Amino acid sequence: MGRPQKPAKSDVLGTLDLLILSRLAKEAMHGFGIADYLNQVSDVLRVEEGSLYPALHRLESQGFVESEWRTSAHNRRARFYTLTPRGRKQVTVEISNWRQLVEAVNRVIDPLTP
Amino acid sequence: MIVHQWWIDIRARLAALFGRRGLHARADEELQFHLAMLQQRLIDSGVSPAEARVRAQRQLGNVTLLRERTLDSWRYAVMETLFRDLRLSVRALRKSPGFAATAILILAVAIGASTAIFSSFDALVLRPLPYRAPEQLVTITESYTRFEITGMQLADAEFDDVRAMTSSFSHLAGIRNGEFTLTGNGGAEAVPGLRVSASVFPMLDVKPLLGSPFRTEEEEYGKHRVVVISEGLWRRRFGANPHVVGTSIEINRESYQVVAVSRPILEYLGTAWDLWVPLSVQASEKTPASRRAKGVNVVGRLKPGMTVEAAEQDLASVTSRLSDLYPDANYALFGFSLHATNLASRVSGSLRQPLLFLLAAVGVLMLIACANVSNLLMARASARRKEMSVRAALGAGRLRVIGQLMTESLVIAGVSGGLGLALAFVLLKLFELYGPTGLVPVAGVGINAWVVAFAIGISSITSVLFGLIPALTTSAGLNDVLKESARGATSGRRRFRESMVALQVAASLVLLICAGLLVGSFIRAQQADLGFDFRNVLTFELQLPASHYGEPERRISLYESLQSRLQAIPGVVSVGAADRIPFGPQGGSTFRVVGQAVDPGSPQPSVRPARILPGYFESLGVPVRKGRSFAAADTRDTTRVAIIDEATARRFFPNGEDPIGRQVNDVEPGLTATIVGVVGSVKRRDPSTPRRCPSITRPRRRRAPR
Repeated sequence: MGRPQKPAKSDVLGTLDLLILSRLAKEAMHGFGIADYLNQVSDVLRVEEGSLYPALHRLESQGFVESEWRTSAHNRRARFYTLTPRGRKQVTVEISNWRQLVEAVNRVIDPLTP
Repeated sequence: MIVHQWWIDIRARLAALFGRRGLHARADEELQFHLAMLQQRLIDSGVSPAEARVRAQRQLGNVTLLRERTLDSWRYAVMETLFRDLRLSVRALRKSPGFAATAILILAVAIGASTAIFSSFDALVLRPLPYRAPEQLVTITESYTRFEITGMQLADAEFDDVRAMTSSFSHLAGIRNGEFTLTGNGGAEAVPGLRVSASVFPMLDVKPLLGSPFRTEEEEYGKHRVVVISEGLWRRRFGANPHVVGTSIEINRESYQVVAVSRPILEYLGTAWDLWVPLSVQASEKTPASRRAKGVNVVGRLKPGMTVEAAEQDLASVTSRLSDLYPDANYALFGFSLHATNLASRVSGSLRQPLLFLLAAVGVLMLIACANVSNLLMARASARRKEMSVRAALGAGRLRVIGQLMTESLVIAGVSGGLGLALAFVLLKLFELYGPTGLVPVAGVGINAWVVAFAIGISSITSVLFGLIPALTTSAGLNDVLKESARGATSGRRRFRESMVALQVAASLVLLICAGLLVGSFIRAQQADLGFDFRNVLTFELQLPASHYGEPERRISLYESLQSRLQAIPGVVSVGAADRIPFGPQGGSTFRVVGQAVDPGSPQPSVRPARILPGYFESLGVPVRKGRSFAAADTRDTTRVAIIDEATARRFFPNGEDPIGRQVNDVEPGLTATIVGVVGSVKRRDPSTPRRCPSITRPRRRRAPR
């Protein structure tokens, strides 16, 4: 989509959207769960938890995710996010873009790669 | 994809507009949940609840600020796409001001014309009666099959009968034209006014601005000197005096008490009335003969659930009862009947067709304008295709490109719509100021919410009409533009432009033919032989208060002194007077030649009588064909004389007998007059209709000086 993204502070190379969408590709999840997951998986990707919600709402306003109230594992009401079909397409696009970028960067920084 | 985006935008905008509280609460709850979870985790790992709370808050950040940033996500998403497209469009149009100005001008003229016509259509045909539930309002009229008369007003007594004998109406009101001259401070001024039943105000559901309207008791003669004045008169003559209610004003030299100030009502009867007084009838005037003096417009409001057909049934029973009750009125003989007609359809009836025609004409004009602008857009397309192909190369989908182009069209249409609305306003104002008066009741025509909605609607529709095909063509096969072979698209564009030209020529031809026919009719109407020479003829109307001029002698001596004084003005060739002049209000009367057998079953023709002062025919240049004109010697004491016109002569003396010297029964029952002359026929109404109405003329006479 054409709209310019406003990267969050700790949005590594503008990848916060990619990270959120990839996480949601596995299962529906609430905001806390997403932050928790990202923090567990890697220290490098440590997200500033506050920037997660503006990103989630923006993705919803763009039609990539939907949300609804459900009961969490701790028996509390939480807002669960799911990918829309459009979001699912967007994930594959963003992942392949990311792979290309990584590949390109690798080629530049690794003199041994032809 | 782009459509989907728009849908989401709309949904988000609605959410932001109506569900902002909901979004607010939702963001709050999400953040509180997050805090609670962080806190719980810390407590589970052995931190004290108070400490856990502080640390959780530190980790998440300022909740209020976060909530605002979260809500901003929605706001941006909504506004951004829209504003960016609009900004781009405005920039693109400013880069080619020539194109933008031309397109906007063409559309503004078309939209202006359409809006002006629609505004008239809206006020005169769609909503001619600006009152509550106008579909319940009906008008009651009389028909006489014997005289081939329909749509006639009622007599006062008949109105009373209808009021007493029907049950279909929640309100019934009689309305009679009157002559009103205001005197007292500010000089004499003739103002348009009506005599109305008190029920007219509740019937139309009109609340006065000040005071309260007169009551039914005040219709009784003697209590009737109360008046409701219009807002216009109140401002003009009484300086918007807030204490005007209760004061006395002088109408026709009698003192009336002002009881209310009202917005204009009953404008459909021809003009913006300035005052309303009770419809009251003196007991002495209630004679059997008064059943022949028609003049009351009767309007009724049907009871809820009642239909016009049911009301007709109701009136049919009144018709038969009246025939039985008043044998002297010859109701049965004359084929009398009462009818109810929907008031709105009666009011807008004559205007419906011409306005529909004009509406169709501006519709065609609109199409031509769209085709024109479409062509301009196509001409621009070749230049734009480079720009668009760069966009496409940078990843814009075809729908995205179409969206951008359509936004441009919308901007053009939007600006044109605004200008068009302003133009419509100016056009209507000009018509009101300089247009012919009395032709169309313009009082209600103006720019209202409906008209604005129409302008917005028509602008949006036109933007699609003229913008869509160019946008589709421009955006087709963009990937090929940068490679140089784009022949397919070019030929498609040529075909489109050719069909647009064909459409324009066809539509213009239709308009031209219609305009030509209209101009032709107009010229024919101008050249029509009216039977009199209207060049250099001036007219004015004189109303004399009955209180001072009740005596015919006084009236006639005033007329005669006026006539001689006007005659003395240098440049005045001749002066005449009549109680009915051509193109003014006309009355009808039965007419019979003494000695001619009348078939009681056949329709009896009526004539339009007028009483004149000598000099009338000379002033209008009406030729005397036979016999003589009136002379000063024709006074009240000599033989009663009359002059008929050629049409009357042909109708009543079809075998070429000489009408001169024959006796006719005329206006005054039981009296006869001798025909002394035949004059050329004069058209009295629409110059395009044949001279159907024969006329008879008699002098206004005075006693011979002794």
